[in-house]
Amino acid sequence: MRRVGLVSSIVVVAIATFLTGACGGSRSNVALPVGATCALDTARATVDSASVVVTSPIDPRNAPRPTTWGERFAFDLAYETFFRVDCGGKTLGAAPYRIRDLGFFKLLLEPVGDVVGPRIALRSATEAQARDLIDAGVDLVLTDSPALAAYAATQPDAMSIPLGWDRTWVVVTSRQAALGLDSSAVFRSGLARDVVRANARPAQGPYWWSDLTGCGMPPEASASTSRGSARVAYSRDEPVARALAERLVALAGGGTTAVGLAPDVFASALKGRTELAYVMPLPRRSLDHCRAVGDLLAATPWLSRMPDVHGVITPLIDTRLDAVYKRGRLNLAFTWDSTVTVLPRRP
Amino acid sequence: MRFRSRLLIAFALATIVPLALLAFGVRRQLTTRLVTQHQKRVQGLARVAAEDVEHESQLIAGRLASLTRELPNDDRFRLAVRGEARERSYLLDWAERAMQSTGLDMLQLQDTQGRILSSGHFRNEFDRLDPDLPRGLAAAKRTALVRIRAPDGPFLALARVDSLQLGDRRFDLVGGVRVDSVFLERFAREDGVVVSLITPAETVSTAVVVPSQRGRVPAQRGMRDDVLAQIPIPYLSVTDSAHLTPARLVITRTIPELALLQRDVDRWFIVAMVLVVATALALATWLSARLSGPLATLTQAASTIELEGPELAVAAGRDDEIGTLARRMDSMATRLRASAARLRQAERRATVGDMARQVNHDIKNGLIPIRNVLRHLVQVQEEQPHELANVFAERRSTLESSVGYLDTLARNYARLTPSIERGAVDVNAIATELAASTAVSGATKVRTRLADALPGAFGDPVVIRRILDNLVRNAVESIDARGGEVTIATSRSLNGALRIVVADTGRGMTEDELMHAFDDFYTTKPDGTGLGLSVVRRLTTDLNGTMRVESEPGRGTTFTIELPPCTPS
Repeated sequence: MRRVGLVSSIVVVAIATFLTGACGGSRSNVALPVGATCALDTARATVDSASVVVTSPIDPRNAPRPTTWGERFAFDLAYETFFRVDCGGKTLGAAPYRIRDLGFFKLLLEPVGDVVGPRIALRSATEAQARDLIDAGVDLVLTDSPALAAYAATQPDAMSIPLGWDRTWVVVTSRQAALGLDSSAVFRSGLARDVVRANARPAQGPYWWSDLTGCGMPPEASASTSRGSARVAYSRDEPVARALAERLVALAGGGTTAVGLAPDVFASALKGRTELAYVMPLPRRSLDHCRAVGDLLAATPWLSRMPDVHGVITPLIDTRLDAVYKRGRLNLAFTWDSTVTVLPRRP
Repeated sequence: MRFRSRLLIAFALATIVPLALLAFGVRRQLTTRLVTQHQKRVQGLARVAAEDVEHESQLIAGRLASLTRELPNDDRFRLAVRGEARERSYLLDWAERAMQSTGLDMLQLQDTQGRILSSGHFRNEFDRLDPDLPRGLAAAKRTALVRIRAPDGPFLALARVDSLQLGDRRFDLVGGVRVDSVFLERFAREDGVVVSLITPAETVSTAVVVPSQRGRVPAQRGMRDDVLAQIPIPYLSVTDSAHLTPARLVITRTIPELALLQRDVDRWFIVAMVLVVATALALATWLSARLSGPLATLTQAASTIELEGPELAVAAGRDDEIGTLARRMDSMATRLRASAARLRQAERRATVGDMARQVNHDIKNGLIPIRNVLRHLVQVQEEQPHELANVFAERRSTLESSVGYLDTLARNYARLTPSIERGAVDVNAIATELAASTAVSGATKVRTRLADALPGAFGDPVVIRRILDNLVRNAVESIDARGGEVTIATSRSLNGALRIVVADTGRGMTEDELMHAFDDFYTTKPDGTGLGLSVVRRLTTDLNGTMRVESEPGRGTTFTIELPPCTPS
């Protein structure tokens, strides 16, 4: 199934335009984590093959535009259209792998060119499957489940490290009153603590979408109007979005319901503004503010007619991934968007 | 109505009526027996369904009881309800885990204020106050139907409440199973059975429920549902305040078994009827053709039988009644032909005799004037020889006329069937000549009383001459020796016809003689042929004329002939 993910699209475009933005001198509000080094594991890896597990759907047919963070991790390694940048702003070179789809949610990333290795067997798994794979031995686990990360960290020589806050989950609605939204910090804290089963915190600004003006985006010619739906929609591949939507529904009362839509259906519903509200992630960082705004408005064109974006987009929580890796197996590095990537061995 | 149609109707009635009676009897017997069995089965189904509902209720109660037994031993749970922050997520997820392990479709833990502490079917509904649900279910004291809130919309559940005590705190545990068409399917133990749950708010059924059928038993269009059982189940409404209202589990049969059976019987009956009627009609058609065909042949043959025609065999070769009838007809026709042949032979002989007598009669009539003239001439030669030439000259025309008459007569007989040549005939001239040529004795006078300016009659002069000749001769011969008078009169009748009256003062005829006067060969004279008056009548008829006779014994006879005029009057 072809899936469209707003957040990932924005991320892809943001990465792809990173150099353009940097060289062109366009406005950037990115605050890259600057440290002594972006290397996650300093040991020189010597393995020829490695196994990686991610608890996120991966569909190679979506390449090269990722729709999930799992696809973002895989496509980042395999497509030259991505400029890989580490957390210090240093480019990491072209993508060193090509993808082979083995089916059953298995991908094989094979080195290309003068890249020596290692070959990476990448599995997309549920939490239960991931536990089995961890028991069998994996070199890297990327997950948004703290419980799974804790379990993976019980492996010998395993290192668990939380990555940076990379996504902000928002509810987008032009009828906040109908939803009875509470924008207080207490409310957001409750969401982060009790509602989602992810490594979460209350959403914290500043948010790059706070100002959608100044980028010369034309307003929507014919703004669609909400059709009076009482549903809070979310992409059914996103457990965090589902939990948030259900909490909103629980608090809204009345006839409000939550509905999980297929990613492409969700994108259509968002664009057509057919539901009461939409719960979805937005990237915490943008390398090019105007490109990010452009993508957001492309996904939600009716936003351009809203007088106050704060009354439409309500940040709820921030989430981040956990990386659990075995020391000395893979060369890993933090990337600019607070995730990790694999660095190949070079001859 | 034709014989064949009657035969067809008789056959049809003979087959359809007994078959209809048979079908009616079978249906009646089936109905009687099935109703009894049906009632027993219905009672059994109702009892089983009620037991199923009670069984589900007991299952839910058992699952809740097992949870309430285990929870006091769950330390993390205890810590969580005590407010331990690090175990809060454990509490929030507890109901979902418990729900999955027990097989329940809904489970929520609430404190005494009704606050939801953990919800399995709506994980993130925690902290919402819902005191009416456990309170209402507790009031029901058993399982009740209730609409349970869920993220994707409310659903109907069969639920009950249990409680547990942890220290000084009491908790309510509400659990149940989702009631939908899948759940109801387990009550539909037979094909064609529809189970519907009807609550004040909605109708759930194993059949498709259209909006207009909410609140009542779904029924298929055109079908009368047979309600097998209705099981009351309390329904807890928590819309405003918790209160119990009745709901019912209705088990219906969309197509009642009895009606189904009767429909099958009817269908087979119709099939059998069609086959039997078709067979009967075919058989009747064949039989009627077998029966009426020979009859039609006989009729046709009978209509073509001619006594003069060739002999035809009507129906040879059959040995049944129709063959016998045909043979009798053949025999009858043969006898008729033989009789007709004999009759024709007799007629031919009679006709030859008649013809001879007719010729004899006509020739005698033609010779009489000649003989009279010759007698007259002989008498003149003897008595007045010097007048012979004058008398001969005087009577020459009579001779010539008589010879001409005989000549014409001979030619007519030569043609056997004399033809009538119609034209204007001067009746007065014929009457005058006849009166003059008729030799009578001295006491008998032949007179004429002719009308002036009489138009010609439309006829043949020879025929009219024969008519008058015969009448006058009969009149003369009816007068005895004492003498008398014969009058030939002509006139026009009131209707314009030419009337010829020949009257005599002779001996007349009796009534019996008058009745047979025109019969062939009837005569009262010793040397008569009996053809004179019959010839007159036939010739008059040939000329389209009429004839009547008046006679009285001793006073004479009057013949009146009326002939059509040549020109319309």
